[in-house]
Amino acid sequence: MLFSTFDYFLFLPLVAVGHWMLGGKGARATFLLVTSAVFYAAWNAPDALILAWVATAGFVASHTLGRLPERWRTPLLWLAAGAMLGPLCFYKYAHFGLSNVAVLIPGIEPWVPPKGHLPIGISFYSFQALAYLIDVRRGETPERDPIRYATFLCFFPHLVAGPILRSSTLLAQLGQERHLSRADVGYACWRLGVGLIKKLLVADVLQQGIVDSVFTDPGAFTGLEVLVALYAYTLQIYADFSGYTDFAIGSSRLLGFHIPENFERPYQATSVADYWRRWHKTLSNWVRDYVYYPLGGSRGAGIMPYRNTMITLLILGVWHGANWTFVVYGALHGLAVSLNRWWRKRPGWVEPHGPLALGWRWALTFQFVVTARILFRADDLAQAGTIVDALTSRWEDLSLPRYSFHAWGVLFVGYAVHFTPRAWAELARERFITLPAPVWGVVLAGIGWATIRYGVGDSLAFIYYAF
Amino acid sequence: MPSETSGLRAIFAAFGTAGLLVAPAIAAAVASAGTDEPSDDESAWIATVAASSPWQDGDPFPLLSQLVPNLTPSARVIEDERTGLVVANDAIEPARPIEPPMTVDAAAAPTTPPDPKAPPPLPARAPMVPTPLVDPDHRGMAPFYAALARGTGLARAAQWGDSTIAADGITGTVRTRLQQRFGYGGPGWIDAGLDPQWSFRPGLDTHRVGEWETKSILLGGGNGRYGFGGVVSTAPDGGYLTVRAPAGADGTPRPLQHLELWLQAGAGHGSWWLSADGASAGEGSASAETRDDRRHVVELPGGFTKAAFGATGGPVPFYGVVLETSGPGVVWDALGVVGVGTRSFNYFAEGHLAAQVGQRAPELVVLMLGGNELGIPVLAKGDGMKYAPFYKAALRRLRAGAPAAGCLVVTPLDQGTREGGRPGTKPALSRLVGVQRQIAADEGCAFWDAFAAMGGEGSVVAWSRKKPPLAWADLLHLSAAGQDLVGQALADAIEAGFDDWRTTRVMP
Repeated sequence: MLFSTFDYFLFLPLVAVGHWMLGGKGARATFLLVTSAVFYAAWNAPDALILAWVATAGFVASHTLGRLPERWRTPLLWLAAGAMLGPLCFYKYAHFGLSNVAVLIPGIEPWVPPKGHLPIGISFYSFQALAYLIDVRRGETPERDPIRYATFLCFFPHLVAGPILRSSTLLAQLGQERHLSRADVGYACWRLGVGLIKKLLVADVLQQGIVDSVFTDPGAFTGLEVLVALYAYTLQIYADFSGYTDFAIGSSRLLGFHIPENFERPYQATSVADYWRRWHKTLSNWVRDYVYYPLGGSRGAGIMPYRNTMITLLILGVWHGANWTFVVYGALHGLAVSLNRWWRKRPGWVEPHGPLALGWRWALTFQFVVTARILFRADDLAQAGTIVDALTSRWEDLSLPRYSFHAWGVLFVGYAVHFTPRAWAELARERFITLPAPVWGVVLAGIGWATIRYGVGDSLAFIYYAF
Repeated sequence: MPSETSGLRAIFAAFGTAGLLVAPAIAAAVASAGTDEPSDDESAWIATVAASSPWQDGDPFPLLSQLVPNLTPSARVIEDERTGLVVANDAIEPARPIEPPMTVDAAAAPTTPPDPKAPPPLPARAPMVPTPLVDPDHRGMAPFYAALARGTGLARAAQWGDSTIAADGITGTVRTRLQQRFGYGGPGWIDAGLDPQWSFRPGLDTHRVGEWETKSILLGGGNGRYGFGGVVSTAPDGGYLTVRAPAGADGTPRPLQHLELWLQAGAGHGSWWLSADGASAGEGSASAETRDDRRHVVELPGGFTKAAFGATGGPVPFYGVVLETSGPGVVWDALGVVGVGTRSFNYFAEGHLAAQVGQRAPELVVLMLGGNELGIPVLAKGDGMKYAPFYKAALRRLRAGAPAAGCLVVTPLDQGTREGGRPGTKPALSRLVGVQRQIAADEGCAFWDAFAAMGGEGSVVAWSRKKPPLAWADLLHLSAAGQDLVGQALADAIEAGFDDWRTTRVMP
């Protein structure tokens, strides 16, 4: 079930009340596991078997690791990683990889599995399970309670699109006494309301009003219209994914969990590396800790830091999907980060300061991020080329793009809010929490009414569900 | 437990309050279920409140249907068309064919032999529903069919419409299909402006130089003279436009033999010039004391692949150019202006449009309008027949210039709306289709129900979810693939009508 639906707003308070009515950590963890399983099975019940397989493989491997002699631990880690990532590789990468083998190696025609549907959230929970196993290999004590471990992996607020949690974050909280204060509920209502606005009043409106129309048929639009659509898509994907994160954080808080932020006004970044520190932070941290640092990070001489950067960003790109567009997307970002590093490491380089330098760096970074989004949106490289063609043609017509005032308004207001200081939002949230609880309900109902009145009808799937 | 008490109270207070506010809307949705139009103030008020409900009658039962997907018949798991993900239990009805294709059970089939004179069935083009022309005795299409059967010269059809036609997707496909069968007649009429705001011609290589000013029948401002296509574009001194002939199968431009330039003379205008393959094909003054329309025709038996025209010595308003072969063949003019409706034709000065149509002399006048008028009050309730005078007036204005030409009324495509929380067909569309069907019968025109051909109610929603999408997400416009599909279906219907006309007409 989608977070941004009436169904979820019935489901969540019921789960929260049920959870808090139970006494004891064990009973609550079991309750959360059952409700998470129900939540996941509501999408497509058979996919829950894959989730169960990954969870079982992770739990068994983490316990076996500590009992084995040192020399067997790394081989077991690889074996378990293979077992846990097997479904991900099969469902997400096998079609792409094997069909390209036939292209790259003439004479070989491997069996290529059909491009079927992707079990929802598989990239998120597979990476999370793998990270846990690596942490255990590095010396962390494995969780002994299978219920608690399974709840850590399947916890419904973050199950299908993150944030990607570390065992030190969620597993530790599952083992502690948690409490629910009035302020927690207020905080949760705020995040749920913000999530509704971002998803239904910004992301979906931009998608229906501008983005989908243009990218379905880019050749039918002027260059200016395609450019505006690209900016709209850039805002849409932020509102969509960060809206999802707002739901995840708000829902978790209602159950007494504090989970990490995933975004920090990413389009305010002043370098591409800074962008990745603000966009999908939990994934960036994951690849930093489990790929970039093990490769050597920024240490080493010569090209080593650049090589590490390129590999890390390529993995970040390919994580989003098995498609050449994501390979090129990752490579472009890797090149940008490497170029920036090379520039700043030149002998005698002094980092300029002041608003002009900052503005220039921001503008360059933002335009790069927007342009690279073409690869994020296109289904393949040929379509990306079509979009670029459309973007660079028909500039003789500069008449006002044919979008509704509603969509225009959302675009302008959305960007305006994004570029406000973060402290403003925090101040508004703090004031909201001090309001009486019934007022929170009135606000939530008001936002719900606005989504019906000014939204696009049925809520659309979150973009990151596809990853 | 005590530490949770304040939190639990807050949950009950917040979500309980929200629930209390939402409950009346849900109750109103239940109460107003099944009533299409409010009959009194009270039911109108209930309907207004019901529109704010997050759940409508007919939707899957809230929450329970998520947990038990087969609980309600309409609940079904769907996959996201773009990503292949299972995304939701969809509550949207599938497209409902108006006239579903009949299947014949061999055992239960009647024993009477099939009628050998019955026209062959139209090709299946899922998700379209094969839809023939409604044209009793071929009275609407006969002049065009006769021109097609003539075997010499060109058979010309001119199709006016809105953005659906301006994109030249449907018309482009019909043109290609008929030209494949009856001969290549060239691209036909091309608006001088070729401004993406007003018209596209995919496949046509054009280049415009100078700051042209375009006026159309959408907003007026052109002193009543908008030419054959409803668009007048004024070239500045030194401005010009080049048009290359479309390429054939071998990738090289196909030569054309007939070139026309349509323009407007008037006070303060400069001179015009026309060239073909770089050689002069004519020039003259566009200056006149009173406004007047001019047409310059050039026959080039040796063929040309590039035409250019422009203004010198002052601005010149151009209507368009005609690029044709000497035949035999077909020309299908696309005359679409984005955003127009029937009342936009009132911008034409009296007699101007008829004169333009008369000079172009099409054998078939096709009108596909109304898609931008679904919100007008006369279509909001009842049978919508108060809309009929507007449509008739536009149709008669066009036919006045070519009274002997055939006539074809094509309905708008399905258009969706998301008002009320669930995507569906705009309520006025079926009324509009009914009105147009009646007008076609009254005026002796053939009729093609594009709405039914798409699949009827809800089809544009289903089309927007196809992969690749057949309709844009605005639920108003079709993608290139969707336009092609409709064009193919219209061409099927025309060809089937022609075949039937050829076999059933009384030979002299």
